[in-house]
Amino acid sequence: MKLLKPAILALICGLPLAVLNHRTQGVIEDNRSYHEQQQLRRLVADVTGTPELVETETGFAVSEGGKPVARIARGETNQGYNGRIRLLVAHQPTGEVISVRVTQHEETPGIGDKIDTDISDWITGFQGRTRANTNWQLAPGGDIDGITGATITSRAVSNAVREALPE
Amino acid sequence: MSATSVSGTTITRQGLWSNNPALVQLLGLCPLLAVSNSFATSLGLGITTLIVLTLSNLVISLIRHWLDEETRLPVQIMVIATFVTAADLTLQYAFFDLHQRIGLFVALIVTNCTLLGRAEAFASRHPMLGSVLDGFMMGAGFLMVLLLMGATRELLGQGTLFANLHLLTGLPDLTLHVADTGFLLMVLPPGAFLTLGCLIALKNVIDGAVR
Repeated sequence: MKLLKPAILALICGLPLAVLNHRTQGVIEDNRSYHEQQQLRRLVADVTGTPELVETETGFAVSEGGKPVARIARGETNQGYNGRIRLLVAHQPTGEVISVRVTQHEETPGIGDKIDTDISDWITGFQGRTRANTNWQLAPGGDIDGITGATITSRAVSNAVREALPE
Repeated sequence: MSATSVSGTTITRQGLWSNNPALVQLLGLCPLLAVSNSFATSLGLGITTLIVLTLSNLVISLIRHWLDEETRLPVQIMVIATFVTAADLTLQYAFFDLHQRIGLFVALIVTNCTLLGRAEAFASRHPMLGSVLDGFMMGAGFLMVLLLMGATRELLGQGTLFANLHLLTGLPDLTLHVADTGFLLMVLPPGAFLTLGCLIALKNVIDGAVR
């Protein structure tokens, strides 16, 4: 019987949370997809002025005036320092990176979050790289300059970008 | 408990100074050390903690006579967790950018010992008004230290102040660029311990001088 009061209170606590969750879910989803759309739009602005986007299985095909100009591939890794990192990689049909944007991450604020273009331009360093022309290991030993203090994050992003590129 | 008449001044002085959760009780160090590498993230987490602490103290004080001795701790944690979840959802709803940055630590507010500490030590033994004030002042004391550490570490570690604040608040970009590079150690975890140690020492020096 000792558990009766906690049980009642759990219901009292749970109900408003369920309602709140239900009420906010739509907007939170919208926020998340708006965030991604914005990233996508900035990504595409790096490619072309008036792009046409067609969603494909692995991302988006970008064309201008009917001619394919680029592809946007989704990348994902859980090798980061904390949680899942999702990113979008825009690349030429030849497989050369145009730009990369991180759309979701929970890396350490102030250190690992430098993968976010709002905070640092580190991620622009992937521009022009292909699977073949780059040693995707971190420097020294590889071609990718890691973020100081965020080796794990840098390595995870580097691998995820490489994975997203075509063979 | 007979301590029903703790004066507002005492509660305020304890929360902000003499029993400050971060500098004296040394509670809630996990979020304190982890988030305080920039002013903006410190502000975001500090205010969230303050609001959750005030509200959980309010509710725990209201139900304090109704609770059984044996089950009061899980119940208190449940109340705190409820407010933290609500805060988490609200942040994602209204401040998505802020949540992208401090989301991880918002969930960890549940495990911030300051909250359970105040619930158990104060709110479950005192009437509502005093408990709300206690929650607010303890939260304010925590926020104060968080901001001080955030500003110090950002300034020394990155050479900037208020960077990215506009992403969280919608204010214009207020970033002050003091230096081009910083002493990186200060932004990394050791910098957190060094800064907190110096702040505690400073507080003790001031206390000693006053005495």
